[in-house]
Amino acid sequence: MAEPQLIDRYLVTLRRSLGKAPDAEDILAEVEDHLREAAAGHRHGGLDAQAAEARTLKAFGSPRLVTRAFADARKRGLAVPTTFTRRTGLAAIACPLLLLLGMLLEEAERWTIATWSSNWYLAGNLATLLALALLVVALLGLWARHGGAVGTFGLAGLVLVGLGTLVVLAQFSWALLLWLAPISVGCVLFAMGIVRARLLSRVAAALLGSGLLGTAGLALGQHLGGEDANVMVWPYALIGVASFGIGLTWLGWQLRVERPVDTGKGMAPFA
Amino acid sequence: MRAELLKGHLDMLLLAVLADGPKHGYAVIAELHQRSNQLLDLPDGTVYPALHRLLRAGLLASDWTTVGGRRRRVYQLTPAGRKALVDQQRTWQGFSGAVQSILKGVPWPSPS
Repeated sequence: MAEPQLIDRYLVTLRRSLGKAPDAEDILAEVEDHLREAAAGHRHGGLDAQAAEARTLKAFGSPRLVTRAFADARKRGLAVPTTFTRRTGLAAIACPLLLLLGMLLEEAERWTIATWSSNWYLAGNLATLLALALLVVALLGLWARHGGAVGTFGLAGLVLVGLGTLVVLAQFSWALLLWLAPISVGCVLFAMGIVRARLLSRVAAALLGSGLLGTAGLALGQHLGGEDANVMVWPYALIGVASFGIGLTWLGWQLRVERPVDTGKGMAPFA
Repeated sequence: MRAELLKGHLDMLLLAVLADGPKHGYAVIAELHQRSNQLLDLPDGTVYPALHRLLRAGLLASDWTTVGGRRRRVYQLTPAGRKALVDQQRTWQGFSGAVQSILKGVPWPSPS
């Protein structure tokens, strides 16, 4: 009777699947050690050699699955709190406050006819810009806290928020939707990544995602409805920003209260 | 137990299994299954990437030995790994205690 070769064949396939992975030989040695020991255990438990190898391989996962898991692990950091994520929690908490301040200062110009009103508008713009920069920092912190588990949704969201922030740097007053739309959609995508990762509060993520999207929808309505719509729309936009703010503050608080596991020395993979 | 429920917690579980002393990959995984009463439905092969990630982060260290003519990698906690485990255990216990209290309908005692 021929010796079973399931494990041998598995290792050949895995070696091919790992390709030019830098630690392929070490991975193969470790996997072979695991498979041989597991199969021996099953044989000791009464299975014949063929059945023991088959059961071992079924429990281990296909070469494609294992290769993908190693590739993911190389790209990802650790899903643990660090000094960096703790600091970014502060940015997450400060961002909505500054965004709200920016809105109020910009609206203040509408309510006053004083000659210095343009200073209020400028201050409002600066506060908004700073708030968006803090939003990017906060999302980077949330990204790091999840160790990359926010996945493609998170990455797409981060890119959109970053692009929207860049637009703000070069914006004119008519370009509200040009930056608000990508940032809102970006927040929605990032929030979906947080929900899927199941690490931090999903309710907070839902608030983060839905708030600004509502505000962007209102801004679009305002754009389509003309100036007359402005007075009615503004308070509702404030509710959207408040919802976003509660969600982000909540997440920021979660980042803040966690004890970092790094010492700040030689722990680069975390951040 | 579904694999996605483990997201974010597997690192802590691996550190906990290694808290008793050095182990090679097969022993780590066998103990994960044993301690969970075989409820962890996770392909064995996907645990190794997590171990390697912990190695790169400095929470684990490893040594190679030879057993029965095969190369074997043995993992152990580093001081940073032990600290990380204590912190994650504290966070988890606070969270699970609060959830248990909600499920049972009794107030969660203040952690003073």
